[in-house]
Amino acid sequence: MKCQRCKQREANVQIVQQESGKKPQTFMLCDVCARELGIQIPTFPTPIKVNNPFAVMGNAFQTTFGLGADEHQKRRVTRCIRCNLSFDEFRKTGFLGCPDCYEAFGTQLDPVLSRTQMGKKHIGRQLGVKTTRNARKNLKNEAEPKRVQLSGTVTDSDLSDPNDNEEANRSTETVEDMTSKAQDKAESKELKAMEKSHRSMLINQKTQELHDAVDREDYLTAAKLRDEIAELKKMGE
Amino acid sequence: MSWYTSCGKDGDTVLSSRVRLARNLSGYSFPHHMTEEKMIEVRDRAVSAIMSLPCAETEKFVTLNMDLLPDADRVALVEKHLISEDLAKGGPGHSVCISKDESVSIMVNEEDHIRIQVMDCGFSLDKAYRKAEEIAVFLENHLQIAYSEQYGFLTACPTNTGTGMRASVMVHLPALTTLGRMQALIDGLSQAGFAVRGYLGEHSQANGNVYQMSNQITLGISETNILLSFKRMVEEVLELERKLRSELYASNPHKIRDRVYRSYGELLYARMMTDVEAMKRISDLRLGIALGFFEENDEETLARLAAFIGPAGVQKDKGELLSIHEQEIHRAEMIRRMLSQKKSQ
Repeated sequence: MKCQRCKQREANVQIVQQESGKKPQTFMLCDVCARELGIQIPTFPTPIKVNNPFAVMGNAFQTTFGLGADEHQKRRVTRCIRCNLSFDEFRKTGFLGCPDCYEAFGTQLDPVLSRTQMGKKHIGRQLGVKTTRNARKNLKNEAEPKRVQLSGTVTDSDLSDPNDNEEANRSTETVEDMTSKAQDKAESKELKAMEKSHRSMLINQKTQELHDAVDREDYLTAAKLRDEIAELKKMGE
Repeated sequence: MSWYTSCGKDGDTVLSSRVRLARNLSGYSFPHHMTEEKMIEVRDRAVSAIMSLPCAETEKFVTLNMDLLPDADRVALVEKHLISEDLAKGGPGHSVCISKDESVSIMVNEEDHIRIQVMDCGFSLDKAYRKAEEIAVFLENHLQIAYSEQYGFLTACPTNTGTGMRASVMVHLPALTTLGRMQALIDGLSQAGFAVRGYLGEHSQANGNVYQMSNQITLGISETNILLSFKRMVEEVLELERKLRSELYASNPHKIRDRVYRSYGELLYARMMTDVEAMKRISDLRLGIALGFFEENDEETLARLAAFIGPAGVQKDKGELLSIHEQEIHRAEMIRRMLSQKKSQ
């Protein structure tokens, strides 16, 4: 069928117009005319080769023209209030813009997290709290992590960790124990040399910044830089 | 001695272990979505907290800013696995804090604001984790860290959110590789939520039969369980590798001996060597040591060799920039020197 508008090209876009109280009208157009009339035609993005399931998750939302397009359109304009990243931009790179994006895109992220992770709820260590011996003991109550069987020769008894108890005992090791042990370790000479030349570069950089600050009469910054330079020079002695 | 030149538990198969924890500051965008000014602000805050960590003298941190570091130094740090290639490419605001004994490296403004990495020789994940946790807890109490009850520690890429933890080991798998079993292993492990990569991490090729294995799942599982399941998996791989090594040897002892001693000869007498070839020869020698061909335990010399014969290591040793051709000559010279030093000891 030819396009109803230009009557030349083959029609490949079907538009169904629905006005309240009227019978739905169907038009057949070619994609060129459809675009000229301001009708948006969704295109399929080329797959992105990034080792990140979130970068390609967008394909899951791609629908043919019509069904689900509204929903898709809504997602396209969802933006994080704080950093202004859109969900579309996230889909392209696989990286979120800021910590608040997790709130902003939560509903879209959850299905993918459920698929690629073990659920969508954090059950690890809480902010600022150390892992206690109890937490280690409660291990069994937690969902058993996925297990892999590599060859028929490995039995369950091979898998049990004989160091488990020993490990729990060792965890009582104090910070002092660790730091005293650390004394035995040697400092790296290469790193020391690297730091030395880096420090003189840093002093040069800060001296330049100091001159610039003085030139623009920003004495507060200049004083801060002066102290930092003095500190760096002291470290080198 | 640094972790990368030592030989630890299960040293016949595991070269080193590493635990990484990712943390971000709340109230700031993630590094890739941030202005240079803000990035420097985050860096200064993070670095000052890191520098105030209570620790022994040898564990004190050295801060290096990427924009001030010469290219050679940056590549040398990548070759020693102390920083990632991505960080090495960074400009102003990208820094790294490395402990003086090089066992801890904290990257600032890489993919996340803060990436704590603790390394140790051999199969030693628990020790590395304890140290990493100690540092993370201190930073969590001294900085405003982005955290939610639902998603845990928030990271730039949602594949790291939750614990923000990546445990990894560098393993030497010559038998699995020789017998063509690696691809099946990689596929199987990825199904189970583990990743296998090349020598220098993501996107890199396996060099000298050395692979990096790591956990992929970070959300919905606790740190302790990540460690437990990961260790079980690694132990299974090690068992399989050891079994295949003895089978490989039993099937044709002369062939294996010939391969090992030929490589030893090449390392001792070659006058030019590419880094890929050197890693291959070192791999053969490691296999020879594991099979008990040599009386002396030379694994530490080999670890040191592997750490320093990359392009940057060779140029640093020479103290000047070298063409590829010159690097090959100097690399052969370095290898001869390091092996003969060991012999004369």
